[in-house]
Amino acid sequence: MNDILNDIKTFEAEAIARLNSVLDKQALDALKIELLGRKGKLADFSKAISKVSDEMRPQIGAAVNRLRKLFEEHIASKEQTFASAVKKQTIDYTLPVRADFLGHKHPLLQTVDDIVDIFKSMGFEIASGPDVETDYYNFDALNTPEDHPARDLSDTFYLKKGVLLRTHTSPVQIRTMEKHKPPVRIIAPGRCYRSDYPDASHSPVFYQCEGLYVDEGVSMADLKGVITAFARTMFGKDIKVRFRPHFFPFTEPSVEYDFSCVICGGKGCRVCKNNGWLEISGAGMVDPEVFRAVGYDSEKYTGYAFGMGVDRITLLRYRIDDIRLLYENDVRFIRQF
Amino acid sequence: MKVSYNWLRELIDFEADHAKLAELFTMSGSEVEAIEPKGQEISGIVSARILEVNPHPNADKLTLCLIDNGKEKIRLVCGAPNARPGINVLVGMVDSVIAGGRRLDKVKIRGVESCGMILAEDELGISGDHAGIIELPDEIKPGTSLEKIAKLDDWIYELEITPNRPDCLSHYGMAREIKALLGGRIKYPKITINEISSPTADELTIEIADPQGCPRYTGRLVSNVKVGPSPLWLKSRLFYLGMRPINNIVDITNYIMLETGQPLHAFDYRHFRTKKVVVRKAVAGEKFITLDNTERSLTENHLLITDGEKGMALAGIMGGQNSEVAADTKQILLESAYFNPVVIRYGAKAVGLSTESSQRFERGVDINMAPFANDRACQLIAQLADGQIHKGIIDCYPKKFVPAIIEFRPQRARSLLGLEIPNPIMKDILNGLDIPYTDGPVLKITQPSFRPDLTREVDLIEEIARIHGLDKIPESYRPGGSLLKEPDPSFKIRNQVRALLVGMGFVETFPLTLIDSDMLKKLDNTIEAMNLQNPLSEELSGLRPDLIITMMKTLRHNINYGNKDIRLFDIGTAFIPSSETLPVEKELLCLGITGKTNPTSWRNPDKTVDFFSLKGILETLLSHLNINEIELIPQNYPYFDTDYSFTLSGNRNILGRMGKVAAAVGKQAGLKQEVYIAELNMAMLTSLALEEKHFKPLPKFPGSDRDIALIVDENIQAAAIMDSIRQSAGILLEDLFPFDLYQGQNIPPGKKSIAFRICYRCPERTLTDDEVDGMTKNIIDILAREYGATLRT
Repeated sequence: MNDILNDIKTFEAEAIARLNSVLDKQALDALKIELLGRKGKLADFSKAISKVSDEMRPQIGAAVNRLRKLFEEHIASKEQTFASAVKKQTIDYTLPVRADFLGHKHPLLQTVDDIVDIFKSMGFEIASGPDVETDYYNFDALNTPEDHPARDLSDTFYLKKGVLLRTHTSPVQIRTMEKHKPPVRIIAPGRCYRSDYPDASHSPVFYQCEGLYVDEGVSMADLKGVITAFARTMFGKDIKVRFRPHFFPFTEPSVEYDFSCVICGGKGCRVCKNNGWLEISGAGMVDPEVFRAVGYDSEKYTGYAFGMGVDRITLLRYRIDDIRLLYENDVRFIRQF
Repeated sequence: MKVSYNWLRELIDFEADHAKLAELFTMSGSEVEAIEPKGQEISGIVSARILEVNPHPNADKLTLCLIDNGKEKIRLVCGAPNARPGINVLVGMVDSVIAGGRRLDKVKIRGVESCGMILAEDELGISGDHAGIIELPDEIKPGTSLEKIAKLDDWIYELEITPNRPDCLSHYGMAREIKALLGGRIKYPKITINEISSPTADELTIEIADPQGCPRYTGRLVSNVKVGPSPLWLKSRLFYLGMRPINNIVDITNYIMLETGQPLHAFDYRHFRTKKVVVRKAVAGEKFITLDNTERSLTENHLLITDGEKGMALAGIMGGQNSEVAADTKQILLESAYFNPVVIRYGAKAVGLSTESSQRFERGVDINMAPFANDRACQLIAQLADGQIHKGIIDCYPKKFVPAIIEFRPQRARSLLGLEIPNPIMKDILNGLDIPYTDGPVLKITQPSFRPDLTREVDLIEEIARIHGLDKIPESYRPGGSLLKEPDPSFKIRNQVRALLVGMGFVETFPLTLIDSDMLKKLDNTIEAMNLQNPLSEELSGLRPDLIITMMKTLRHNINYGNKDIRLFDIGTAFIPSSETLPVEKELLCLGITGKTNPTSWRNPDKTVDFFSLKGILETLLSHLNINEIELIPQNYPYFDTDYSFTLSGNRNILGRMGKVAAAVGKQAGLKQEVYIAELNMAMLTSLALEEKHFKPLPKFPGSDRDIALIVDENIQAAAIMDSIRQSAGILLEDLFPFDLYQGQNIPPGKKSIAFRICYRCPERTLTDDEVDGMTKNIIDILAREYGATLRT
């Protein structure tokens, strides 16, 4: 006959849980009838008493009475809570307030902040240089031959002969090395300019971040380490980095570096053109000619340099499909970030 | 550049399918941008002979051709003008597949059934030509499958070759890359030339007047050529690789260029009346008609191939119309030369031409390839155009190639790459790339003539790295102590300002720094700005001289798009013209506000921003940066309404300017609302904000406040009254501010009511009511005396 006692126990747990989760008066009333009513569950147990043995009868009777009391207490306390809640509600707390305008940082500059933070944590110092540069800093000192196509009017904005809008942040390398003896380790974010008509993926003004580390014994493996650490901090620990050989006048060996696609994880999608990799930017070991221009001993010192398209990284991380949105400054856009 | 997978396979045996090879190319520096399958859908095409050509009963332009395809004789409908009995053609029968994947079916053409078709070149995808059906050589038997006549299936790679690698602009070059990557041996074609007895030198002399521009020139004469269409294999190969087949002679020169990287030119030699070639600089203003029928005006920087009298070709760029190979050409002069890359680059740019030839010369071809390529072309001309090769090549080589001798230290390569790569592997790589060396602890390397980019040790280290594989370079994480030399506090303050403004409801903007110079002039023609020499458009023609001009543009954009209640800021560079080489670049902070003070809400009545909204924002921002004593000094500035145009100072330093955009300026700038703008100097903000903060003990004794409401003349400034109160109350004054301002009912015209709260506190004791009342009375007396102020009751 322990079955009935067990049933009562199970019923008690269920009933209490239901009582606790009741949210309004109406539900409580319904539950009250179900538990304590004449056709309720407790009544069923009472009826069952007549069918059990004599010695069990008092035990079951006591258990049923205890439950009845318990339920009544719970119900009473709930009723009181609901009653007082109705009374206390004197304000319409559902009214939206809209107190103040909300400010937002620009998504591109948020990306710059993140990039700078990551590299600062790796011991990089922030450096900067002017937007308007001489052709010496933008080209000559970076080992770019005089007849290099990048110098053409069709690629570079000129203000007057020999004065131009920097086409990359690399001139900051030269300015920094002219000022400081090695070792140097800098990150240089800033606006750059190229004569590209604006479209979904081009802007005549864009944003780059340059990195440079020169010291004794700096190797390409160090470059790979730093780029990989950046990629994983920025986009997650599963991001892979790959180097492809390339050519730049100011680095040798030169590479382009790719990240495994941050959208599809490398499986292939529209953004990575189904090859699983995203081209990020260029990098390499500083060319001895660049060291010669700043008076560093290229036998003693080696170094790496890398560029980084901040616009592209911003578009990727926020899945933005048109670079012009970054420079249009529509608050409906900026407020999304 | 395009390369053919099959062609590479003919040159070297290797184990890699088209996808694997593409991967290898990309990862060794020749990025494969696209892989195009060619001719792989085509099937069931065979040769056939046309036996009869009869008119179509229902169409004038169509014929019924009876053909023999080796198996059966059937009638096909054909529309080609060159369909005639006796010629060999290619046919597709029912279920054959032609270019584009089209499966042939039984069709009725103008009421006559045709169980297949006679094919033109475009239907095989080997050219765009649909003028007539393909004519095969007589010796091909009907029923020969297309695969046996010409191998049309291929994979074409579109490669991005970096400018330092002219050697990769040929199939030989890419075969060498494969050799370095996968091993093997290149099967260069064997050259056998059957020369006729008549020497080239009898009829041709070559004179180089500008050895700087033309260090090497080889020429040979070929007689009795039969100019005609090229065979199918040659046409298809050129077409696949992006070149238009023209005739066998021109096609051969192009083919050899794609094979060897050496651009060639064939002249119709009958037009060289002097029987000589003179390579000279053009005369400034000299006119020359290139074979695209365009008259070019040359400069002294152009190099011209002449017959000693008139120009015959624009060296390395394009041939002349006057010596073009024509259907009746009999004798050709075949040129294979080396032209100075710089000369060709300038020359091509000056006439606005970029050809397959100029692109190769301007990057630097292999000077030692010239005679070989000439021989190789002659060999093909003999084979495919029945040419008779004159004896001997004339090789004029006044400026010899001097290779760089490079000392290569394997250990240096290892340390620069951070990669333990053993010496034997490095030597294998050098061998694979055909880079000769003499062995030793330091390798002595001789620069190959096909690699103008290899002149230094570091260039060779790059070769080792890219062939060995950049993926093998490990990631090194070296301990990085700080190298901070000059801490720059401006980043910290800038970020503090940004955070404060965002907290105050400002949206950060990042506009283009390029502006419409014309618009600037219209807004205020006193502002000097720098202009671009080569702007993309009027809209982006100058550099902003201040941040207000771009702020107004951003405000306009937003207002026009319905974002009417906004607070914007921009921290960035303004470019101020200077007599120095470079302009002054100043970092400024610009604030712009317009519309309502807060979002429309049941809680706050709608209010529109005004001058004091902006002043209040600035007070809050600056006080947070520890900049106080904010003062406005009236001063006229561009853009601003003269009544609302001020210099802003804080801590007795000029911080910038603020004001309301003048109505006329706003209208011109397209602003449909009143806007208020401030522009502050970041360098000044930074230096003031960096001043050290020192703790002041919290007060131990209570303070006392008194409120006084005064009626004064409306043109008496609050600052004057406050100064008097401060002087009078002295050190016991803790705080002072106006809390009410009123004009109207109960206040006489010309007067205003202004109420101040005066907060007194003594650090040493509690002030008594009598003391405080006494000081307040004193203040009221002084104000009455100085300003005629009366208490408002």
